[in-house]
Amino acid sequence: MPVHFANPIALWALLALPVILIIHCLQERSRRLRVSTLFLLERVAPESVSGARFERLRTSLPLWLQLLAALLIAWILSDPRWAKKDSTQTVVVILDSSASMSAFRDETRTALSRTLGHWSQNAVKTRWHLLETDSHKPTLYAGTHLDELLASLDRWQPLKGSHSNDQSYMVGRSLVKGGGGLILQVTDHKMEVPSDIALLAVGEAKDNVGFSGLTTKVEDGRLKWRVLVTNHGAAVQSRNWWLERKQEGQPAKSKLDLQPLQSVSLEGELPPEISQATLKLDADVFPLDDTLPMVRPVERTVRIDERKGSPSAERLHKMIEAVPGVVFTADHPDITLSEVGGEVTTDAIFYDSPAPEDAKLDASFVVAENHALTRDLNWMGLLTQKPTQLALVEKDTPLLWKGDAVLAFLRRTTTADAKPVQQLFLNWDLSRSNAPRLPAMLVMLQRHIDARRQTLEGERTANYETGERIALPATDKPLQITRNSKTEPFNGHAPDEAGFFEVSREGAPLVHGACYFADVREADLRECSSADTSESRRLEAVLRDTEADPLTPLWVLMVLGCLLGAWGANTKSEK
Amino acid sequence: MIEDFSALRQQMRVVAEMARLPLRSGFWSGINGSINGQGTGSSLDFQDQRPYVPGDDPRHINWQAYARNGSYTMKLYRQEVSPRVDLVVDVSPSMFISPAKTKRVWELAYFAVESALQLGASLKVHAVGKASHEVPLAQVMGGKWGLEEQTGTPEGPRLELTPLRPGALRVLISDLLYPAAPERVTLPLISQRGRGILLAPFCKDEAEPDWQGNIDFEDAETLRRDRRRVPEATRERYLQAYRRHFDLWREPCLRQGIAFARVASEPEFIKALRAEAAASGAVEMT
Repeated sequence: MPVHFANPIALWALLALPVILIIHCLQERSRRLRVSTLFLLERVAPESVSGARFERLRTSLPLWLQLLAALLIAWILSDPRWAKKDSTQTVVVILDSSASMSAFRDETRTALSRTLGHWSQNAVKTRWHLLETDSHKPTLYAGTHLDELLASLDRWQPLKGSHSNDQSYMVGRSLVKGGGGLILQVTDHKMEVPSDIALLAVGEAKDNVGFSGLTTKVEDGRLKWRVLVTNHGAAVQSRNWWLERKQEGQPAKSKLDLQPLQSVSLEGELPPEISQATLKLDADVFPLDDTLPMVRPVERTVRIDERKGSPSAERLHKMIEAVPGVVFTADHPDITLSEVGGEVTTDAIFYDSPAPEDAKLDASFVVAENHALTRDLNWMGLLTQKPTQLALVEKDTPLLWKGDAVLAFLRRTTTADAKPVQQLFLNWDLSRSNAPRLPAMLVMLQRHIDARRQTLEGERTANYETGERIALPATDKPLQITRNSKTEPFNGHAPDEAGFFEVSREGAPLVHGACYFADVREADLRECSSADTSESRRLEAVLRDTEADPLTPLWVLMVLGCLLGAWGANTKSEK
Repeated sequence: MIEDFSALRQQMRVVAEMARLPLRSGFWSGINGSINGQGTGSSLDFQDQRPYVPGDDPRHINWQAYARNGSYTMKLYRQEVSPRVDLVVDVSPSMFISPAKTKRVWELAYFAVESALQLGASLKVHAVGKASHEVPLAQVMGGKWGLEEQTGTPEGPRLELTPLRPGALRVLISDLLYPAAPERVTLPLISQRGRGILLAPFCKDEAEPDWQGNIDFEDAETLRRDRRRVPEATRERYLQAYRRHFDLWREPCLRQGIAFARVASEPEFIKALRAEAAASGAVEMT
């Protein structure tokens, strides 16, 4: 039955044992005797040899009694408690799935082994659960063996960016019912956690240099790339970087010196015959951002049909013309530009009919809904007339409001042949507005066209950030993603690790891609630190799952007996 | 030190009725007394008869023999004397090294005093150390031995300075713990037709010391200091030397007819006497 010490600091009292031994050795050195037979001793040992400074210990009753008393006092003061025979507990460990944790795998294993080792002694039976904060990941371990839990850490792959832990906390609370256990959040920095959850931070500030962004541009068949390399550390760093291309020998390496927090832009280009390459940095504690694969992007063109004839159509044409990957044609259009009320059988952008000449601008504020098309854009400068009153139907999604009238909205509907389409309504006269000069307007249009581009049939080649969502045309056929010659079902996102991949449907490739790590928040390890609040909760658990040593009164009596016995023996020997 | 010599004397007076000095055996010289002397005397114990020679005391003529054969015959009777006992007590500091040994030394001394007095002996007491002086019997009875003047010496008790009487029973009480040769003591004990008894008190601290480790020794006789480490092997060799030291004393005593007995300090006095002193003839048990 395991024993716990409710006051383990009292175990320092065990230091009294060597102190007692030293005192006894010193006492031996000062022993003085008056004798009548010194001449006999000198006869058998003529040389008077002084002893060692510390005499070899002589066992004696007082010594043993004093040692026993010190041992018992340490035992009593440390408040030993014995686990109840039927005590059980549940310990849920929630590992942070953030990519920054990959720099602290060894520290995590060590800290968990130590902390959970202590907790395993709290109760006779412990039920262990090892989860991740990424709620999409499966449970790493559930069982009663701590060593198996520690072994399952090998399957832990922290690759995510910033994310919420709330769902994993809910799972943890459902596993630890009635408060009879522990929910332990393991991360790499100090953070606020709910009061019913303990924190185990295993991080420490580390230096890291890595790629933090990629832009590509194809000009004259040559791929021009540009990347940022950032020193996230607090000291000057030197790194070698190089570009690896297929079927090339050893690449030339270049040295890069970076001041603390400095970002340096690297530029280069790939000849037309090279479709993909990989930029690399010297490896460091955080390897995820030391590799940046890239491919030559090949994007699909969005075909746009425009119904000319109004000033708003001309303005809209100019705005959409600026969007890359767009061609105006009436042949099998993907998006149609039309005045409100026009007959359209594709995705569309509707604009309002011309306003009367004497129509005045509406002074009401423009309010934007939180939507993918309008998010993070500044609409405060948009000047329009009072919008035409259009009634919203059930599947309409408002985007912009002007007073109590809807200014722009998105409508999802179906065509006569039951084909789903998406239509963007701009409910004002564009020719009498400053919308063509408003950046937010241009961005919203580009977002709408890109959303349609994502659903176009056909192959594409693109660069993605790790874990980025890849929009594909809706289909009821299964999609696969192939990476490193390994094929898995496609979950709608780019892989979590940097590399090349291919998404296909029934063997037909849809996406050729490269993904790279670009979450600079996870790559910055300066704020990492350590903390452990589990120990303060362990005392509560120990008190709940254990009972006090029933023999404590006996130990107290034995201490008194030992002390009296040692005193008596010393007094007798002095006499 | 003994605080109540009077009580000690009372105890030893009782002990002297159970054990005594060996004065009943042998022949002694001295003034008239109650112990058989070496010659003829006027006691009631018939010893021999011989022809009368002029000068003999006519009171001892055997008239019955003269009536039978007409010649004068003298009846000879045993002489009864009061023997001389010289008690010599070694008062060097080693004799009082421990309370038990101190008590045993004084018990032996007063046992000898009471036994001699009960046997009607002529007793003289000497305290011997670096010097020697006679302690009057009155002072002995009062427990005033004048020890302040006594100090130790490596040569042992100075018997050559002690006026021992011819033909006396010489009782020496000494622990014999000095490096001098035994003959320096044994020969004076038996000189001038004297008879010697040697009672050697000892204590457990001397016979079985618990020395081990670093010890700062101080010699009781000379107050000399000697700091040394005593391992178990040295202690073993000391015990052998201790036993051999007393074997060296036992041999000349046996050769010179001196009754030698070691008396332990820890047991009861009468038991300690029975252990060795009774067997060696140093005391007689009644």
